[in-house]
Amino acid sequence: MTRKSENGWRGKETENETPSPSQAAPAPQGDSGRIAGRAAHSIRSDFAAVPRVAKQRERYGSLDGRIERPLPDPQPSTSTGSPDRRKRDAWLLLAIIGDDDIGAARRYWQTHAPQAVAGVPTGDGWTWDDQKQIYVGANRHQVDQRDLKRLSLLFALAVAADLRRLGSDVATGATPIDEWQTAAAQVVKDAAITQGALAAGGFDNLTTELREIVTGGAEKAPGLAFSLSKLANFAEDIEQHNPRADTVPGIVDRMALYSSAQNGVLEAVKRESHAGAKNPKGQLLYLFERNLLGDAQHCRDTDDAEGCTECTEAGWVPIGSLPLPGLRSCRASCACSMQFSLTGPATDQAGKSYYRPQIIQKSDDDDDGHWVTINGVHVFISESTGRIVRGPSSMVGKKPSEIGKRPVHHHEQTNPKKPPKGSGKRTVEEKPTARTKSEIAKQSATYVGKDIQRYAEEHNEPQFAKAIGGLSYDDNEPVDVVAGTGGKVDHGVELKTMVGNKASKLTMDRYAQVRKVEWEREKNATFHTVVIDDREAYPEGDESKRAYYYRRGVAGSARVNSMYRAKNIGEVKRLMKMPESELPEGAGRTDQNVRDGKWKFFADKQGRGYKNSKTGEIVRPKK
Amino acid sequence: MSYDLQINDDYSAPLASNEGYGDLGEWIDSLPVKDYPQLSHLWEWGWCQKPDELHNELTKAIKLSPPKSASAKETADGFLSLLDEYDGDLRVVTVSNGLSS
Repeated sequence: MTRKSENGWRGKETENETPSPSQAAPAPQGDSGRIAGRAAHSIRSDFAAVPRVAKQRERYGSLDGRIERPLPDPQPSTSTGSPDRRKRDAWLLLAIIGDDDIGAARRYWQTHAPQAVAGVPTGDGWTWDDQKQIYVGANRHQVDQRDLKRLSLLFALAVAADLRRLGSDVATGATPIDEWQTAAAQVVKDAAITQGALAAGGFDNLTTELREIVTGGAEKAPGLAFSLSKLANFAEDIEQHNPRADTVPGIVDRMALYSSAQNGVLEAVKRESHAGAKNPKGQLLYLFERNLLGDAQHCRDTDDAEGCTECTEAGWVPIGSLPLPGLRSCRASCACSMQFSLTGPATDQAGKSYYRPQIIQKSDDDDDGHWVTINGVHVFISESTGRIVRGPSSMVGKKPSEIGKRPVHHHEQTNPKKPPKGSGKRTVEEKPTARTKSEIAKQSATYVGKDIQRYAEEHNEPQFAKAIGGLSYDDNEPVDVVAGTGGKVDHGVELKTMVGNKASKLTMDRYAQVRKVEWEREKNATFHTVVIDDREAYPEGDESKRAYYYRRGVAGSARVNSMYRAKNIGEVKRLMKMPESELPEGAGRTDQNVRDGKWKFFADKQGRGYKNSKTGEIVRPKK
Repeated sequence: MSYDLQINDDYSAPLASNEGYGDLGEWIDSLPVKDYPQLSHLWEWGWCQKPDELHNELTKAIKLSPPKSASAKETADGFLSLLDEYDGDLRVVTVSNGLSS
């Protein structure tokens, strides 16, 4: 027999005493399952009206205090005549999910869910949009992830009511322990499968892989196997009147946790479902995740588990990075949820996790100082105070010593972690197909591998940066080395290293040229193109065999031997400071056709591009 | 020395600075070759003829073994965006330093 609550959620009416959840609420352990909101409140009020609590109190003492009279011994098994319970291994077999189990869970859901949403996971009038990860009703109503979480929590309350009733039955001796265990396990199983189905897009979407996630492992939450394993321990505790199984409220409260524990199942399946969602081109749609705190007290890091507070503070992180609810300090009481996004960090550009270093224009109130790298992040340290004044907010105001890492000054930039040139390749070069050869032959520039990059990084760029008093950029800015004073960028250098005999021409499409010209305009700096000719110096890096070629501005696609050949790096430095009108032949600008007008960046359906404000010309990466 | 990503014979876009690409390579070197063969091949030899697999490996690597350095992370994300942005069949992907014969 079922009865309907004020908000439409149904719980089984019981012949036995069921304590009010408000009275029997478990002591908070962190993100407890105490759900706020009107709907939850009405359910609680509804459940609170379950009769005969007073009678329970009369028989066994205070519901929220210690027991005043001993519990009766557990009822003997109806089959064996003695207290009985299944062995743990036998219980774990129950964690295997078959089609019949899916059917049973489906019926359980339909028994408990309000009519309006009963068809959501069963597919009756609702379809699942795998890309958006939402349910869409025949009437175009949508159940998004937030609604889904609400459904899940309300369902968990209904399950908790059933479990409390079962707990009360075994505690009072009304139900033999083996019957209780069987009934409780079935409710837990139905609940876990249903939570998984809600997250998977419906019962029919519970694939073998997702069923395995619902099942989980016996030793580690979340999952059905873990819950059943704990249930076996619980049975033993009841038999032996162990702590937290020696009072009616203790047993009833502990039973309810088996419902909230399935929140972890929902979140685990939700993550898996998002991680597998792809667009029609087969590209993944969700790459980042973050934690959303539930309406509860929030746990913090402990020695053996991460806290929900710290998980939330981490912001957007790559999907799969955070411990799932149920694995954190608050364990099964967790009320948090996970949110997923394709471009999560894009909205958090200023956040600490994805801070992007920027060269900042010097202002009047700027202090003198210098840029250094700490923990891979560029920061500006005040000369007078020795404290970080520019950089991630988590570092600003601190001294490098307080962060615990020695800063690497840019004038002594080295790459100690990187293996030296020729450290070996781990793969064998594939044999290109005829089509591959054809495609590569038509590409504008020659491809390069690890050895050349490593050579340039080890032998050329740091020395060049040091020689001109600059620093290397380590992101995708359109320059390689910048130089300036007091945080103001004066020069940007595009540095090319020529090592192969075949390479003798710069190849730069118009999009890349525009990007560099725009960088120069925005920074109010001077752009230089420098080619280091190491064709004779490679691979030893013999500087005596090195030659330099220079051109002011963006050289674009130019023959290297058409550029000005400098005698040494000292001459390159002089050329960089020389007025344009005094530059020798080959060193002067040839980029006037790109510098005409201003370019404005845009992104549309065809991708990114720049549009010229004067001529209307549009350039894109794709030809 | 900036690096460009070239796709097939009709697309070229800036990928990273020299140091940024080096950071990306350092991250790729930290990944197991058996799990990320195309990513490793591209880094070590400069070209890849199985770009769909490369795309999936890059996506998986960012998810499962995200770069610790902000620079490598940014370059890896940008790399993936460029592959996503390309609106045709991915046939060949190469990385160039902008020099040719």
